[in-house]
Amino acid sequence: MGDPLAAYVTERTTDEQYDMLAEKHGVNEPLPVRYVAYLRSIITFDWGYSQIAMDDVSDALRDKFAATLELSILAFIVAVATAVPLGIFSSIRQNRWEDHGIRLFALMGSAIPIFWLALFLQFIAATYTDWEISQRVDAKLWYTEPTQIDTPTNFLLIDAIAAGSWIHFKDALQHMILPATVLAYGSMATIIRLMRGNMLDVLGQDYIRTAKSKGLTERQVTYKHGAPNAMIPTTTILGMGFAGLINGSVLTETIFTWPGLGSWAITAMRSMDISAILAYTLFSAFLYIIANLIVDILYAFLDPRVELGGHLSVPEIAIVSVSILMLIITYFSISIAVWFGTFILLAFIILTVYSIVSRFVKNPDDMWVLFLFLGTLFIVWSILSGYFMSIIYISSIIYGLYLVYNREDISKNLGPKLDEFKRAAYQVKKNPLTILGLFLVISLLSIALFAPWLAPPSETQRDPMRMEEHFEFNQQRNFQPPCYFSCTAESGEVDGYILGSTDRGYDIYYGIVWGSRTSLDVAVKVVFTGTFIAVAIGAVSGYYGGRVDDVIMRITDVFIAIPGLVLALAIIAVTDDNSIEMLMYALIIVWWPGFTRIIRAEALRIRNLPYIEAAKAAGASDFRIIFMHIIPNCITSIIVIATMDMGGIVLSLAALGFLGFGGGPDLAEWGKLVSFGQDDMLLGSWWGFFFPGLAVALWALGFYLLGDGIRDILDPKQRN
Amino acid sequence: MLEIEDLKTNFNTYDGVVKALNGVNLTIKDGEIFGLVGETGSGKSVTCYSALKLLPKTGEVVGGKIVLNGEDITHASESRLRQIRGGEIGIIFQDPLSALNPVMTVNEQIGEILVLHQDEEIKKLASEKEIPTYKSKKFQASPGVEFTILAFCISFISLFVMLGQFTFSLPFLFLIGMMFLRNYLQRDLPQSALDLMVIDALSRVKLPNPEQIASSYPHELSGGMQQRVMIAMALAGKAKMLIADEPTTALDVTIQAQILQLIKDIQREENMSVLLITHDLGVVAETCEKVAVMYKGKIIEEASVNQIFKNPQHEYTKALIEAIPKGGKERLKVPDIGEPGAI
Amino acid sequence: MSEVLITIENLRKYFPVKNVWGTDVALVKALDGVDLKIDSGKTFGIVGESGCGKTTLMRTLLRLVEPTSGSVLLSDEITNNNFSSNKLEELTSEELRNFRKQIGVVFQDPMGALNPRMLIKDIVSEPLTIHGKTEGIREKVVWLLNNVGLGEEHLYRYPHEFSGGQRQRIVIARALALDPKILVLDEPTSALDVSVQAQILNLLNDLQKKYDLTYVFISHDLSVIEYMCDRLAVMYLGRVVEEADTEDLFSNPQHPYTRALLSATPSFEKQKEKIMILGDVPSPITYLDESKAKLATEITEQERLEIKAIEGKGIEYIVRSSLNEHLSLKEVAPSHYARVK
Repeated sequence: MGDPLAAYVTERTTDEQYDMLAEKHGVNEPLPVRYVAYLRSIITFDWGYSQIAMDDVSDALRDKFAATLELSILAFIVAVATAVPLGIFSSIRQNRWEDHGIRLFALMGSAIPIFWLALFLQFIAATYTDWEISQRVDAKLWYTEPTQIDTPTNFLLIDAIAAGSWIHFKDALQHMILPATVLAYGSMATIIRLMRGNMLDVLGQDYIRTAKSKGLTERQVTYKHGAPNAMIPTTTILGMGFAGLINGSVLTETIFTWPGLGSWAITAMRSMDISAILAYTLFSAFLYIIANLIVDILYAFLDPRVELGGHLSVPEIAIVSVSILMLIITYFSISIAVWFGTFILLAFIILTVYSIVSRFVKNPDDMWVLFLFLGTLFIVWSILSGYFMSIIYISSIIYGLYLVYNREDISKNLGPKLDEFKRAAYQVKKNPLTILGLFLVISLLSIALFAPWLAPPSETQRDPMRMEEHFEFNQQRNFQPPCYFSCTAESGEVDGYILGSTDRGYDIYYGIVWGSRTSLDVAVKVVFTGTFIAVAIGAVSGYYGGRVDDVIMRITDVFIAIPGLVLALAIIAVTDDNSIEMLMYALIIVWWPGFTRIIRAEALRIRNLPYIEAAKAAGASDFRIIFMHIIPNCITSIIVIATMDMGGIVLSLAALGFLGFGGGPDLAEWGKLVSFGQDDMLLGSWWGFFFPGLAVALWALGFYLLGDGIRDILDPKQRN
Repeated sequence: MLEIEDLKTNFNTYDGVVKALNGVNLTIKDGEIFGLVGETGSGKSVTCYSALKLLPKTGEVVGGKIVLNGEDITHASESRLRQIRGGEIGIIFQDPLSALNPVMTVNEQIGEILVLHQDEEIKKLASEKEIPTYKSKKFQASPGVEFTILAFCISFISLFVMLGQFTFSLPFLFLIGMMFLRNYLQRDLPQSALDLMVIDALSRVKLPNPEQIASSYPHELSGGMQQRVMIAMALAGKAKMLIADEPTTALDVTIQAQILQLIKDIQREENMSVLLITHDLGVVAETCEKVAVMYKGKIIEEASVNQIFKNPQHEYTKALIEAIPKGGKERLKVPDIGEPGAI
Repeated sequence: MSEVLITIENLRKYFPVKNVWGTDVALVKALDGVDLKIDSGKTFGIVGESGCGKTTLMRTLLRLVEPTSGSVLLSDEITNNNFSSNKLEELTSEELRNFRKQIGVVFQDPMGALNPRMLIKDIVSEPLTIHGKTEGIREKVVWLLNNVGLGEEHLYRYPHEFSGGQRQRIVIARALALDPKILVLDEPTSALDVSVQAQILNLLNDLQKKYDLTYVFISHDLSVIEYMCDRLAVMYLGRVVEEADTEDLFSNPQHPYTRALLSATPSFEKQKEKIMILGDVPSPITYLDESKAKLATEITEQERLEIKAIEGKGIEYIVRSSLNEHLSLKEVAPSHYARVK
């Protein structure tokens, strides 16, 4: 654990001073007391003191919130206003070149790392224009006489309008354009893809045919009947989109030195400003919940079939009322609250254990669920500890023996599978984007595989994953421009940097080649672990439903409520462990709930199909139904999500690396290289950030395209 | 009324071109109920969609001639076709719930077709009665929704006031204001001419309480009512012909009897032509005057209803009639025909 | 009189409707006191409109849902005197598995009833695998497929390659895999064309003769029911309104609903006089609140309108609201029961 007092301690702090500090902040108290005390300070809006902001946390939040919200709202409006029409247009022109173009544009929005796009735009703007590329406003213009104006709302665009000053408005807008564009592009991509998919769904519905049969024009049918219906499922994702904006704002604000919540949080995390980290994490969860509430209300407005409400179960009411009671007690007395909380927790644990045990005693057949979870834990452990490959080898040998033993049967089984494969190959051929994705993925994987031959480490290097520094102190600037293919001297020696070097003398080419191994390692481990957890928990949760499902879903809610990047950052910061392994754990913790929910939804859908009923009526056990019927029918979604997340994980990894987290500074990792490149960008070394960022983008693009293609191929709707 | 000559339609699929229609000839006279019977995949629905150019993107009319009231509409322009759809030929579909737009009220959906095809009547009615032409109560949020919104707005406002950021609560105040303003403005809007026409259309299909039904959404109605709304919609444009594509397949027998009775009544009252597409020979026997049997994209027999059941000529028709279980327990005669998709 | 295989006694299944606070405010009475006797070796038909509870009855009979009250009694022929109880709801899970060996199911939608990711071989052999009968499994599957008119060449194929009728044959083969005594058929032909329906009905008749099967045949199609069934129950809103031997019921229907239902079925054979049912099917929700509890028996607005439209045309009619009255089942003729005054 990190030291909660780190932010206050300097080299000159004596032990006595440290003790005094500890007492002042209540660090010496036992954990439950500290927790309750913190709870109390939260509900009384006393969120501690932030060393970074040199201000109370609540004041800092208030000041910076407006800056972030102004940027996010502008970006959100831009994103929705452009993405919805683009999605509709793309669906009308399905499978024509306009459609392919828009889909590629959308996929690139998801695949291009936000920090790379930001740096790229910054670089262009700084080199070719006189636009402002940092800070929120020109401080001299806004905060010094004679041009000073009041900023009562701290929404500077609104304040400028209120003051009637065109110069101020223009200045604020100029500062905002770049960060808002960067932020908008990412969420735009998601909305375009969703809108296109929903629109295609809706255009195949019967009521569209009815509308055509009334004599409406194509345009009226699309916009009056198609679009409103397609907007309904799109709206549900807007809340998620808002979380994406909060994630993105962390990166964007850091790059554009925007004085908002995101950049404040990053600074806090780098210097262990615990109260700021906690407050920020809580606050973004709070924002996310509010965004989702608004979406829910909007949903009820758009879709007359939905009624607000639903019904609460008794345990839900109990939990909510106990929580409220706890908060009230906390407000009056900390010590009673500690006892109360402990009691409640104990009671809750006993109740849970009791209900689980009694269930298993009543239905001894269900014991396999326990073994399923134990098995999942074992597999997760084996993946993380590195034994996974040997398990894979052993099981493939066993599988091979099984195949040999049953070879007659298998050869007959193969026939229909081969037909499916041919069909898939035919569809791949029809879709150029899938081929592009396949090509990208295969080439990047081969780079990782052939790294020792592509970029041989020097003889003095102990660990090829750690880059070597090449300081050349006789030069003022250490970064070297790329020499591309003319690096080889006549003797055959490489005498330059193929893709240039960073300021520290890291070879970018070497970093990219070996960085692909880091990416592959992290992505495979996180995706495999996440998939195993998600399939086990999701299938059981969705199939059984009821109380089990409720509990699991509430747990995933807690994780999903905090935007992913923020949660990962908070985990790394709080544990104060900056290794690549910790980063991997953080990514797994962030990733599994989303997976689980999708698998659970699938299982919930499948369990109501007649063939499940048929299997039950034949006397099949739950175990058999889950493994023979539910999971094989989820496999399409599992493969698609896993493929896409292979890209998504690397994006997050690179983003965290860019912010300086995950492994030492010399670890070959793409995000880290980009951040080194950023330092020298304005001195003209564009290659420092450009090439590693390109690698991230191509990786993500490749997997996204492939995942999209697989979805199209495996989707039964595409048949016939 | 409607003449179809040698109509040919193809579908382009993964497995190649599928010939759905191989030269269909059909003549429907004024004021008659014409039944088109066939099994799945025989091309009976494709015939009607081809005639109105409502085929999905993969389908294509490759030959033949379609004549409506003496006018050749085979190569008619898109705008002429739009006049015909809804204006001269109304269509009702199999599953009324999925054929009605779930997010629009009945009022809006019927109003749409009236504005398209009966615009002059609406204006005339409006000027006669001196009422607004189109304007009406558009959106009727239920009190529950309004209450929830109000509660959320108030909680947000108090939250932001507590945080000392009063400005953030302004949009919520605005929202509350808009809500009250809308309720105030719409407190007693008179019924527009369009509303009256919609209500008139609904009462033509014997729906009780048409005003209430007009303001409801499709999912709030029962299956029989939904199909009545569909019929009201198909007739609203004063179409002279009704195409009913399996109108009762999704309904229960007793409701089916009601709907068929309604179609017969309306046909008689307005002297319309009806093309009834169905797979159920019983429905044809009770409703239609003439009937055509389709098989593999062709019409193999056409006759009056009495004739076809008493004295079927074609082997397939005979087999089809004998395959229906009747009172006795003797073994059913199975027509020796391939089933689409069989291996 | 043949031997009774299954006796259903006062079976009730209520689904609660909850309000925001999670308390029950109303009940959907899917089954509201059903008594039936199913004879061995015969076909028992259950007919009714959608929402009348016939599918819930089937699911309760298979114990896929637990009934609210009442019981399903199994005869010795099924229990073999091996079971701890002859009540279905009291069986242990081991006995339930044993019971399920003796009862096969055929569902309405043959596409949905087959797992799209399994080969036909695996689908048909699944019940055998479940019950551990793995010896000679391949021969048994081929035999089953031959029995329903399919062959060995179909073993290694996926369901989507088959036509609707062939899929239904596969479902029947699977239902027969464990040599059951009873076959529950839930609308087995309503998704099929007439000619295919005829094939399936013939197949079912052949199988019944060959293996002395008992059928529980659920359908909304009266012509199919009349053709297939020996005895038949008409259901309306969770209750059996009339039960009789098929010929008896078709020639001499007693309950007004049965009469209307019979006349509403379109047919080209005889021009029957029509009895229209006016009004919409009432919602099966029963409110716990007493004031809302009773289904109104007075004529509704819609019914009045429809009466007005139909009057003077010489068409006989009944109104739905008159069917809401509670009457007890009476024996109107030998083994012919109806809920009439």
